[in-house]
Amino acid sequence: MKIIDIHGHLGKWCYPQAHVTAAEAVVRLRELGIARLLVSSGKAILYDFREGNRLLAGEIAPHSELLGYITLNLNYPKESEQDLDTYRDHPKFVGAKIHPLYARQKVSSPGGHYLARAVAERGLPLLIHTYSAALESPWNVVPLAKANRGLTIIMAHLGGDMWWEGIAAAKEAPNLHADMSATWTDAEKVTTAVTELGAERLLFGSDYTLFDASHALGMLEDADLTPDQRELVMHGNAERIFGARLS
Amino acid sequence: MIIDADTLFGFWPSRHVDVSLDKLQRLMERHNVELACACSARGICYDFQEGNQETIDVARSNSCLVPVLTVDPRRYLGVAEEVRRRVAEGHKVFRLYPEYQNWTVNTPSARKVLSILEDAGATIMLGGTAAQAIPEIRSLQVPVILTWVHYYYLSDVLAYADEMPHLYLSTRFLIGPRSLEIAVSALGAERLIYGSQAPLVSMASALKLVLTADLTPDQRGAILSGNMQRLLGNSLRS
Repeated sequence: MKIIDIHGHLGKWCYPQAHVTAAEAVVRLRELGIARLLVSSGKAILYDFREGNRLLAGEIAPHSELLGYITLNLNYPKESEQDLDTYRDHPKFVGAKIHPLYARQKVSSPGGHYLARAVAERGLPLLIHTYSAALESPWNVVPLAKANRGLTIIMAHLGGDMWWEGIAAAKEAPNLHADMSATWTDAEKVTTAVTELGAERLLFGSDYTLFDASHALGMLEDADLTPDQRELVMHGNAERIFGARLS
Repeated sequence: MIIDADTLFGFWPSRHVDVSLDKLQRLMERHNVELACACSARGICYDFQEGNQETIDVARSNSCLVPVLTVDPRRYLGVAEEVRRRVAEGHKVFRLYPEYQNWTVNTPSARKVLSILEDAGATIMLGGTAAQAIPEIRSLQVPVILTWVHYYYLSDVLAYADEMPHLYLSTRFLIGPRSLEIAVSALGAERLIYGSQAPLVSMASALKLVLTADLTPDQRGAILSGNMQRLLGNSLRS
C-alpha cells in the first residue's frame, strides 16, 4: 500500500539519536515503504524559522520523496507571513507548520489567529503541533478552525498522550484533521479516532526524523481498520488535502 | 524466537482498552511472539497478592506465558513475605510499576522494596524514569531491567552504562532514529531486551523497531529472546 507520511522533520535534535540527513532519510523511507515524507525544519522550529525554511528548501530539493512545510513562528507573525509569500509557490513546499511549544505561545493567541488567516488566504493546509500541556492543547486549535472554515488544519499528534482530548476537540469543526504520531502508541487510539471522527479526517504521520518511522507504522499495523479506512489514512486523505504537489 | 518481556493482562480501569488475556494471545499469534512475560493488571491496579496468584494461575494453564510478579511499595505491608514466598516457589522476575502507581523509586519504602528483592535474588523490572532509578539501583547485585526509559533520557543510562553491568534496558521507548543502535553500542546487545507493554499499547510498534534496526542477526536474536532467556534461567519452562 502506498504510504504518505505527513509529519516529519529534518534537522538536529538534542537527544541521543542519529542526525538524519535528507539523503539518509530517503534511504530509510524506502526501507519502510514510505513514498513521501512531508517535513518541517527542526532548525526553524527550535531556532530561527527563516534560516530553517531557507535551508530546508535546499535540503529537500534533490529528493522527490521529500516535501516541505513552511514553518511559522507565533512570536513573529508579520515576518512569518513574509516567509509564507516567499515559499507559497515553491514547488517543494506544500503547507505551513506551527509549533506552539517552542514559541511558548498558544496557537489561539492573536499571532496564531493572524497566521491562520494568512495561511487560509493562501490556500495552504496548516499543520499545528498539539499535545497535553495547556500551551499545546488541541482545544487551542478549535477557535482557529471555526474562524477559518476554508482552512484545512491538521492537529499533529492528535493531542499526544491525551489523544481523547484531541478527538473531542476535532469534533468541534469539520476542517480539523489529525495525525496520530506520538511516543504513546495506545492500542485503542487509532480505531477510536476512526470511529469517532471518521477515517476521512485522519492521516498517517510518524514524526520522523525525531522518532523512527517504524514506531508509528507498527501502531497502524496493529489497528483493526477496514481496507478502505486504511487506504484513506495511509495516503488517500493526504492526496486529497495536499493535492497535485504530492505527485 | 521472540519473547516479549513486558506484557500484562486483565482489565484496565483508566482507559477503555482491551487488555484481556485473549487480546494478548491474539497479538502474540499475529506477531509470532512465542513467549510473553506477563503480569496481571489486578496486581498493578489493585492488590499485588491477588494479582500474583492470578498471574501464576494463568501462566500455569497457558504455556506461552511466563509469570512476572509484582509488589507495591505504597502498600509495603506484606511485600517481604510475598517476595520470599514466591521466590521459594521458583518465581524470579518482579516488575515494579511506579508509572501507573504514582510513586517514585527514591522514596524510603521503594528503596526498602528494592533491598528486599535484591536479598531474594530476584530479577527486577522497573518502570519510571532513569534519572530517579539510576542512583537507587546503582549498587544492587541483581539484574535490573529499566522498562520506561524514553530515548530523550537515554543519556542518563549511557552515563552509567560501564559501571553498572547489572543494568538492562527495554527497547520499548528507544524510538529515536538509531537510538536502539546507540544503546547497543554503549551497553552491548546482551543488555537490551525487547518488551512492548502490550496490549496496553501496540505490540507491532515496539517489535518493528527491533526488527528493522541496523543489527546483526546475533544482536537481534539476543534482544528478541536470548537475553531474557538467560535472565529467566530455570524459571523459564522448557
